[in-house]
Amino acid sequence: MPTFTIDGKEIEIDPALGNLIRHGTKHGIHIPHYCFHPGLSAPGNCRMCMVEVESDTPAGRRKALTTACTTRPAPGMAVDTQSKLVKDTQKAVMEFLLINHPLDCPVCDQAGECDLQDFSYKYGSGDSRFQEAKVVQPKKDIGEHILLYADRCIRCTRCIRFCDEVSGTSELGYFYRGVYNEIDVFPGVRLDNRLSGNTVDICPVGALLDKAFLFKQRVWFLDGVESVCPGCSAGCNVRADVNRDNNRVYRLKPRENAEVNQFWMCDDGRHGWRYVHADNRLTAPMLRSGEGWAAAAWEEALGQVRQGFEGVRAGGGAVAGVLSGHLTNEENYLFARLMKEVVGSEKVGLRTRVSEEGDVKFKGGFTIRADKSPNSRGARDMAAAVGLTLTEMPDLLRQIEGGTVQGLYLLGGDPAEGLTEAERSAFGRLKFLVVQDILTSGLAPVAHVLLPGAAFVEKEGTFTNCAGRVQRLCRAFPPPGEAKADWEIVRDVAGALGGRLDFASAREVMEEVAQKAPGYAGVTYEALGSAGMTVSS
Amino acid sequence: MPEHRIILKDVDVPNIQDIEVYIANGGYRAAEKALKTMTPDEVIKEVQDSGLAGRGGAWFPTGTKWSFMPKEPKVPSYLCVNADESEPGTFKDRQLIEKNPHQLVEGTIIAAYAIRARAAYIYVRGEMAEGMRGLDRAIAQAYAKGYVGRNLFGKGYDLDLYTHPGAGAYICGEETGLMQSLEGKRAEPRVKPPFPAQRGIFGCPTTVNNVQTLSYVPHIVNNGAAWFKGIGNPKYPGTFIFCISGHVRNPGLFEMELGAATMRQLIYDYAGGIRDGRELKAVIPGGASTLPMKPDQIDIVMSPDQFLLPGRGPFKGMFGTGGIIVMDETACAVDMLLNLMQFFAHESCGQCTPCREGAPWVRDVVKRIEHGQGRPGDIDLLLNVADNVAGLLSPRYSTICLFGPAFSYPTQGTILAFREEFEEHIRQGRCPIRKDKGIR
Amino acid sequence: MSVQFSSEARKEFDELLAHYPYKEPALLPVLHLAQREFGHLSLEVLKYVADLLELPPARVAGVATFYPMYHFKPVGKYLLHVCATLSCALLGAEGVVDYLQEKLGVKAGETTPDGRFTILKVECVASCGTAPVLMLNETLIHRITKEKLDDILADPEAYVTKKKS
Repeated sequence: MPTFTIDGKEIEIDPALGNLIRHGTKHGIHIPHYCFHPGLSAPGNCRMCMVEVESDTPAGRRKALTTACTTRPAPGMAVDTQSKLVKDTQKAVMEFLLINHPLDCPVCDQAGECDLQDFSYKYGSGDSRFQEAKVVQPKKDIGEHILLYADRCIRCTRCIRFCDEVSGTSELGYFYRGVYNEIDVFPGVRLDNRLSGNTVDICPVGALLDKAFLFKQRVWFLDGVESVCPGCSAGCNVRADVNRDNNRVYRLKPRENAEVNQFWMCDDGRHGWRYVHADNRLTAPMLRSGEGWAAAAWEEALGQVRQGFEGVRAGGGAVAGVLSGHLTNEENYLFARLMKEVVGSEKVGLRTRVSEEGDVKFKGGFTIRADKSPNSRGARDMAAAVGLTLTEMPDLLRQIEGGTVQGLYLLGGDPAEGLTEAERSAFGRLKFLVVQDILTSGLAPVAHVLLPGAAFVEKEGTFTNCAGRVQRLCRAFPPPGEAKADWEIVRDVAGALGGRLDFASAREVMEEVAQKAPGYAGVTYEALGSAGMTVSS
Repeated sequence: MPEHRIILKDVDVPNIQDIEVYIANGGYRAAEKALKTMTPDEVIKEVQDSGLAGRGGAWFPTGTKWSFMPKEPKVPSYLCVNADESEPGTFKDRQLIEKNPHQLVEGTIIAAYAIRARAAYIYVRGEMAEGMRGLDRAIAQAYAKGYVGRNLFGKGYDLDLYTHPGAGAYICGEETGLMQSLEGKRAEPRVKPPFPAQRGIFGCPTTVNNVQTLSYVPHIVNNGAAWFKGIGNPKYPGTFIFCISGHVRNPGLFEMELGAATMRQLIYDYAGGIRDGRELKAVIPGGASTLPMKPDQIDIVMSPDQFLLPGRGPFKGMFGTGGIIVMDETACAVDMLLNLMQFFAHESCGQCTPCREGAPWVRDVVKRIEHGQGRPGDIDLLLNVADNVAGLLSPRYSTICLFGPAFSYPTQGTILAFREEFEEHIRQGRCPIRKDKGIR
Repeated sequence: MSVQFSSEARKEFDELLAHYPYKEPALLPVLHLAQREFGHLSLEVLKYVADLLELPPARVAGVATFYPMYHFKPVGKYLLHVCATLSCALLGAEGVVDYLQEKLGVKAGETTPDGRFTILKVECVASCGTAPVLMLNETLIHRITKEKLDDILADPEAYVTKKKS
């Protein structure tokens, strides 16, 4: 096994890792860097990662100061990250980076997660000797979501390379020369590709900023909660940054997952979560009262549900259910069991939302999926696990129009939900409609009972993405008011209908799913970890 | 004073720019000899044996450089000719291009053949538009005669030859900067490895050669390696064109063997000594990146092996490009460094941190000192900042390309040689030198 | 698109493209061609060149702004490039600039109101032996003196067309 050493520590050479920085990271040795990013090319321009490398050359064994980002390890190579030469170079580079940088920390969004701050503290000299006039560059509004405070830019060029290599849209250019060079867009061609938000993530300093997050929150007040973006079936791994004092999400950032989204997420998902804190969140069970609605306690609402279904049965009608591609595996599984075992109906459909635009693929391979439901695949898998053959929605609507089906329990959870014309017409005929959703708009208008569910950051559970990967959602804070996690509601409805779906947690539900769903064997929350696992179907 | 003209020999022959005149003077015989009677490897060996080394400042053995190119190219190989002469003090490539373009064209053809290149690009700095047009005319004449184009000399070798204009960037003289510019990009030098012979222009193996270097090639092929090897200094055979400018009576070009004369002889015997009866104060020996020398150092023999890096032995980089700039007592060392730093700060590509930030910083501090606003710590600050970019007296080196040392070495060198003058500026709060820089 | 190459320029463009295995390397010579054709590289011209070469406009503009020989605002008919680097500086370049500024009433970098002259300070043009030098458009003029400047300003066309040097 070929090896090399970093600071005397023997390390196995892994060609898949590439350069010295990545080898170091894997073994807990941090080599500071700015311009290198594992998802982009390595230009070697910041000079922060310079290390001393001793290796065999045609001229004999030589030691040289070189960039770790452009150097791949060779057998017998000895890398020194701690020598005086390395430390002096780090101090020098930090000093150079700061001489034209504004002292903006007190007003800069990046403070607290800024590589300039962090490396200055760890590797810098703590002092500036620069007394000349700084080169000042303007603040630029360069895109729908993006600001460029160019005076803070350290010219790592990650953003330019992202637009060239990952989004393939090349809106960002490098203009002028020398210390007067600056990053900008061509007038009239703004940074508006659907992956634009990633440039803010990869900017090591506070030059590229997210307009929606500007001045909103100091990052040290935020906790990161691991979850999965509910925007489409790609299942990008995300981190919801949450302030525990007011239980609010302040931003969504992508998490690295080489199997799913690499390092990226799209702007639709990145900015599409604000419904979580919308004013029209359902915060209590609602019962139809004349032309309007009245809030009710859970017990009363559940009682209404039981009466509603009994009324339908008494009149000779059937009760149907609709799974949701927007709810978790655990929730869809329990619902499928509820319909089959407790309600005793096999008339179960599935609603998903597939957009007409088709999959949108970018140069580097990242794809925004046409299916805007995060868990279509999982919902189907759960129906199959319970032995239910799904009824196609058009068929179900026909049965409602025809009067066979008179009662319906509909799962929602899609913030962009709306009823189609056919659905509005059909649902309007129902004798009894229970809708479980998170917003009062959308599915509400024709329902008799509204049950308030939880958004993706408000519950535990899993989604299965379009490639069959099961991934965990983690709960950041409870849903608002009287709202509950959707799997809890389903369990309570089961109880109200005289059945028993006895689970104390979503984790327990998944334990049963793992036994019952064919491809899900071995799936536990521990096994899923932060990166999920693939299931077979 | 032994001037020995090989490549400058015919520059004053009337109409030598016309191919018929050039041929009548013995032109294109070498190209024919090489392409018709020698294999590419034989040409490489001839040039290797001659001892020809790159005249652009690097002094890398030319034949050896050619031998790095693939013998059986799977993708096209290319030759780039570096006609981007922009080093302050240097003006010899201009002469070669404008006065004897066919000599360069012939050398290019032979070099391209030796490295099995599919095409050659002569990268001419944008300001030499007239010279480029002259080369275009010469190339067209060469095509018409069948010296460039298809099936040259009936030997099945195809070669296309083009000129390509720059647009005002000194960094295009750096070989990877040149290649970036030729690819239609900002001339930001590349990290090496990979080296040009592995991945050059268009992702293909490439050799970059200097105008002066290639101008020797026809003569080496015509007269043989042994002839060239026997000329002058055995370590650096052949001749070299020195350019002398500044405060001398007779500025100009002088082609001679390396080691044939001292700096003193060049200044006083060839260039007529200092103008207006003044005293010599400083000499820059080989372009803006070399260390300025003082009058007590000018008995140095003009050969690369004589030039040493302080404390580290011979460093041919200190010999430079042959651009000698002479300064008399009306020149101010601080002002001189300021002028060069304005040049370097303007020409920095801006890609890497130490150069982008360090060059203007040095310029600004030197400017303050020259304008009487220097502070006591400024001199040591300059030495340290320059050392952080690339150390003259230390093993520090932090930039992507040689542009870092290009400005940090003369900064450190000027202060080391003229520290008192810098201190005097600071002490007096003004420049104490009586300059004479007015228009005449 | 209101900006278009004339048919001669288009012909030259096509010839340039043939020098390279793909379009991007033609950028610098095409920018020179566009500048000759349209006087300066406006945003519209840059976008036109980008479309012709199938390159992103930000990249084309980024390349163009790297090189000082490209102008993005209108410049005078006669560009007075004064070399200001060391050898020329030692032999009076600053004085040349001052003299021109005085005679023309504009500063370096500016164009005279009648659109005739622009003064530009440039870096070493590789003719240090005949310092101080000035380039009038593409013509190199050696050993500049006050008299010579007066003559150049009086009859710049003669220098541009090589009747004088």
